Amino acid sequence: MTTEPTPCSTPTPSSDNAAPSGLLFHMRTSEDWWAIWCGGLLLSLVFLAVWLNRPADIADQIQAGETVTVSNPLKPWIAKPGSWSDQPGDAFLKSAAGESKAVNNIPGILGTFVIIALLFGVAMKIRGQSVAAFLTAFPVVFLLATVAYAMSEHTVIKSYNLEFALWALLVGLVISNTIGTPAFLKPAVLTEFYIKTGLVLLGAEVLMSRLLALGIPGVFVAWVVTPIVLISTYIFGQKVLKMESRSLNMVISADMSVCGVSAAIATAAACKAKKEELSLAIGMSLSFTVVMMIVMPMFIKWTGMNDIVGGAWLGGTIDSTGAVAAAGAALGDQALNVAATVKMIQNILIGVTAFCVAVYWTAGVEPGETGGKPNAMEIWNRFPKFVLGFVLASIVYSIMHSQLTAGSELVNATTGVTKTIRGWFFCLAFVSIGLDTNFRALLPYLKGGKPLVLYVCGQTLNLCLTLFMAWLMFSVVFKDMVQEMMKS
Amino acid sequence: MDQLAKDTNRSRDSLRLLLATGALCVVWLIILPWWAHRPAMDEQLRFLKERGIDPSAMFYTELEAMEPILQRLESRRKD
Repeated sequence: MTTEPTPCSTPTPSSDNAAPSGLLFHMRTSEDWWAIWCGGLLLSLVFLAVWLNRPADIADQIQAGETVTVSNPLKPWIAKPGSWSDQPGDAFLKSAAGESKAVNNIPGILGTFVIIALLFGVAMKIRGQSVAAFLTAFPVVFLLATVAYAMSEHTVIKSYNLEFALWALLVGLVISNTIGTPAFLKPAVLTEFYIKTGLVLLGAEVLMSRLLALGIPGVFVAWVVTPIVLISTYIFGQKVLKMESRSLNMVISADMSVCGVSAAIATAAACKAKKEELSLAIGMSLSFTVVMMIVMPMFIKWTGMNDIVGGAWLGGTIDSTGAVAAAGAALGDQALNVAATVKMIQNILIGVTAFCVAVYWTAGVEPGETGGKPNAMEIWNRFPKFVLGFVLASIVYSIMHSQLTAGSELVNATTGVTKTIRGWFFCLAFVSIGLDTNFRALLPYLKGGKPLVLYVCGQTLNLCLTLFMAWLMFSVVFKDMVQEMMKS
Repeated sequence: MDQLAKDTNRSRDSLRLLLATGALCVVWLIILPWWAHRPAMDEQLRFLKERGIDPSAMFYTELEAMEPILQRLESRRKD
């Protein structure tokens, strides 16, 4: 059982000061590169399946203005537990009742298990690690992830935005802090590998072509305010609060200003934050999100704020995407549309954020800790390479989305499956964090309450600045354009 | 003596695991199903389901309610 805090991104050959001549060696053995190979292979294979399965007359259908349906033949073989209220078994197998269709997620869950076991088994083999040890441990870790996923799918839990990350962490913590994590499980406790591979898959969902969905006003609320809040909060944490851990400061600043758990995961991996720091940031974000998703719609109604401005305010401030939609829906359809779209635009910022944080960390923070000015080769060697896979997936899928005939349908059918695999990777990562964490390791991070003060101050700035920008853009400068957009 | 201490520790750890698992089972198998059927919660769950909203969605691609919004945006882009 690990009691010492360990980095969320452990030093790998790719991030060490390795000789450039060893690039091919690192591409074959390092976790960062393997996250790219695994994520890239999954994205390619799933897209190929969709492409081969597309209707032959797809171009004609588009030309005729017909609705095009592209299905994914792999969909029945990739699934996660479904939602349930009374019987936990309903998360896996549910018979038809009333308007609800019959559900059988078991083949999909088993299919996902086989795919990840095979993929990571091959990766282990090529990286020179024990495949047998991994394959012995992985079924148990996957089973724990399945339990955590099923727990998170209870309708009441879901309605309060308590995401699977929390329950996966809890399941792991229960084991590691009672009987201790058995040694035979360690080969499948691969936090960083799961996170990085999941992030490469997430890249395909970050479609830059959706950036202008709400025109200039949306960009101002989501892409101008957010970086200002992120940078201001980080500087506040360093200069005023004097936080000991720069990475904790960065992860909290990003998850509070960008989009909650997904931003925390991406930033933590990019700045090599410790796993305890990621857990703490996510715990805080989810706690505040529960409060904000209930209180903010009430406040907006009470003040009689315009639904469009209110929606934009919700979208720009509430951390979690699902919670934004729930809060927007409480105000009405128009607020839901604006809130969800602003949040989507903010979601897209995650790629740029991860890339910029990785560059800043490797070029600005790490050299300062070790002393001396780094040259370009050192920066390259330290750079977390999986970020390149994340950004590349985003660029390639954005181009396909906007350039291919029926690009939107093809990409949606692909990410409709890869998002489920990505969810499993993140769930496995949080189970691994729990299995590798001692409660006592979390306590030093809570000392002095600095993380809490940072979050509250940053969120206050976020609330004020976003409200001002939402009002200025949606109610003053682009009022007519927005009204027209809402009608169409 | 060492063996006895180890056995005692192991029993204590197993008991702690059992208690933690039991507590989780009580919450997930008894309290939450009961809560889901309380009138206010039942109404809230129905409201969310009708609109295709999963408040625990991590990314916009996980949100069913996003589909009609995106379709509208796509059709406007194509026009």
